[in-house]
Amino acid sequence: MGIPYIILLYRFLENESIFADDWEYDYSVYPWEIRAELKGFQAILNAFTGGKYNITTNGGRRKIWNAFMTGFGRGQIKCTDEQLDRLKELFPYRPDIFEYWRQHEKPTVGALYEVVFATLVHGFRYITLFNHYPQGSVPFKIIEIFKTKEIDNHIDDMDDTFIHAILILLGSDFERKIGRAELIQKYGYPKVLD
Amino acid sequence: MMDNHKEWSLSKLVTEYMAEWIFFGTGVRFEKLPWSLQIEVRRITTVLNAFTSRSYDPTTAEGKQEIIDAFEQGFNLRDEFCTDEQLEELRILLPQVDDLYSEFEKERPIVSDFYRHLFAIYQASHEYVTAFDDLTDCHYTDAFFVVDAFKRKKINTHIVEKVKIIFKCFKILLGDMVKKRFTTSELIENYGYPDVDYEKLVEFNKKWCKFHGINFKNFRKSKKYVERADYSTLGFAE
Repeated sequence: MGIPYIILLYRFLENESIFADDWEYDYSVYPWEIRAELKGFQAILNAFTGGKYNITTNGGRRKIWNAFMTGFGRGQIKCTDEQLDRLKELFPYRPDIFEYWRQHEKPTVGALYEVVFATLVHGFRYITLFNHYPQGSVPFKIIEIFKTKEIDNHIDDMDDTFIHAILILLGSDFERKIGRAELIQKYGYPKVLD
Repeated sequence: MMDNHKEWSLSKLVTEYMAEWIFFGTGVRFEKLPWSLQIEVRRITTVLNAFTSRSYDPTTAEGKQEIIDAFEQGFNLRDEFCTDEQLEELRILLPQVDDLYSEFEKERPIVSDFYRHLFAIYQASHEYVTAFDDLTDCHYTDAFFVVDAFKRKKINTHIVEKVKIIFKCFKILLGDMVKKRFTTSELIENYGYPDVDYEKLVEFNKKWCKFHGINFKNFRKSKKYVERADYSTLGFAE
């Protein structure tokens, strides 16, 4: 039992608009249950990253957005041979580039992470296109189900590859699961949350 | 998309509309576009006028919105009720929930009920597939190509195949309109299609890019493009 990183990742994707940099954020105006959810998000984030991210300030949530987009401060670290071997299995279409990296300079974690993460974000936006459309009309239902079955499910399956790549790039700290008790004791996870 | 157009089909028109998203998908006004883009937008508008036998005008905010509505809601046919034949053909192409079609016995849908949602998927598909086409050179690294090759082979190709189904649905919904074709000379003669040499557009764009410090290869791909389009373009058109 415990919370895997993928839960945090999807919470970020679902709430990406909260973190986006185009509006002034005021944590205090949210109802308490939303603030509790945000605090829970902050606790899980800090547990995985070892950071001190603060979601209650405008600057703090911008730092969180930036961290997700760039790889939590790991961006400038060079990939290891082991990481590249695992990534080569996931992304097999350019063996020439992996060979070049093996013989010459290795890429940074950030160079790969940023593209992988951006692709994941685009896929998530695609899949959730109709989430805020008014439901109900029969033609809409027919088309929505066509999209879900014929396109979204495929993107979702492929996104598993990107998530796997993200875990490889971020390292073993992100591949573990974190228990609720640890989150409450060390990271201020609200007890009211599951 | 700057192209040496010879003949226009409705599919080409819709594709070109998406390519001019910098205008139709943003609040930028027509007069703020550089001359070459004004030409492209005017071309799309004249072709739209030819297909619909209407007089759309991109130079005003209202006119621009009418063009957007035409593309996104189903052109002249948006309020027409679907026929039995159309519904039967759609059922074959979109069979995922076959039993829902019986609902149309109670209430017949209009063309736009189907078209606008299909168009929304087409737009989202276009955005996804072209998501990384607008990066500047420095982002096109080896790391990018490793990941992008996967996206192109495993995801984009799948989406493109499904978009073909969407275009088949457009054909069913828009009927005879889809069968029309217009040659460039016909459009110039009858619909006011801007008669500008392809080479002249290219030459303008090269000068415009040089003036604004944009790599010509990246023209139309810079995220700063809309901001830059606010600059005066006087003097480049001649």
